[in-house]
Amino acid sequence: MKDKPFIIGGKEYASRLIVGSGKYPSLPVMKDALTSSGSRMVTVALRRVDLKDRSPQSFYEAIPKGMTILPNTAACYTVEDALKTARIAREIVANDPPLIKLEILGDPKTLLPDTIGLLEATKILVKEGFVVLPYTNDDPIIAKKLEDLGAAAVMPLASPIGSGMGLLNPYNIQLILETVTSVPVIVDAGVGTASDASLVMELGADGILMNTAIAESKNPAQMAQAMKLAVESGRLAYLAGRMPKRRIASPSSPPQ
Amino acid sequence: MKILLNGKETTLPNSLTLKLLLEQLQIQSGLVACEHNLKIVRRQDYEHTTIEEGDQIEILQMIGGG
Repeated sequence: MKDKPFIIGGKEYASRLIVGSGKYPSLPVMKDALTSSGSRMVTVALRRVDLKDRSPQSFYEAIPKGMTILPNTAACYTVEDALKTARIAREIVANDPPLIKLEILGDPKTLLPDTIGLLEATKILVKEGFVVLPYTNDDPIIAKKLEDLGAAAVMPLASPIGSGMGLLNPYNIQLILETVTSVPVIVDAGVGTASDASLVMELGADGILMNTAIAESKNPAQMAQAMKLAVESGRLAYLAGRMPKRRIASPSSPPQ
Repeated sequence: MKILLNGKETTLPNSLTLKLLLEQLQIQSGLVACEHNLKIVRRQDYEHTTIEEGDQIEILQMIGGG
């Protein structure tokens, strides 16, 4: 099967892997990893400028040129906070139209999304002209509602943020892939290693967003390359179509 | 005069514009967003925004995140 382009908010991206920029031991390590990932889009968070320690000013310089910057509303627990963060993000990051990874958290222990708030904020930000990429639970009903509200992609989790537990509910992700058809489904959060990424892509996900799996690896640049290959091979396997599973053996060589 | 700058009480010699404040702090305005008394200030309005005694200023930037 021929692949279709990976389009978010009207722009085509050459890689189906979106990477985060958090938790890296240093900016040079981050830069190497982002480059090795082959990704064309990187998420960032927004915080107060630390007037005593100005080193984060060089953060922007460490993002490989040409990558689209996707600001997030991480650490927002209310619709109000998320809206405010999105509007601030629009001032800092020059995307036209403005992009936002919309995250409204329900609980600091699990970092699971508050999907009721998410629907409300998505509606408002879409109206304001944002390209909204909502981080959501692996709930097909909410995913469909987000699509209907005009989200530019739907981003269900594989497992909780930073947990590295991999894909816990492939059944729900598959249902979401069958339900959400007009915008990309990007599995966001929970991928721990390359096989997790392949599995997600083999199901037919349009893309994957990950951060910790790369940043917390002992060799982030190497893991970033592994993830690049895993996303590509998983996608190819999905397009090729897997063989049927059988309960008994079937000889590969012809019988005598 | 005293203002609240990123949550900290800060003393400035006199009233000034947001544009001048950023210059004095050596912050490149292209990489930050500012709030003046909780309202986001558009970049083109930095030079018309005067900071007065007791005002609250927030300066935000991008950092690493997922």
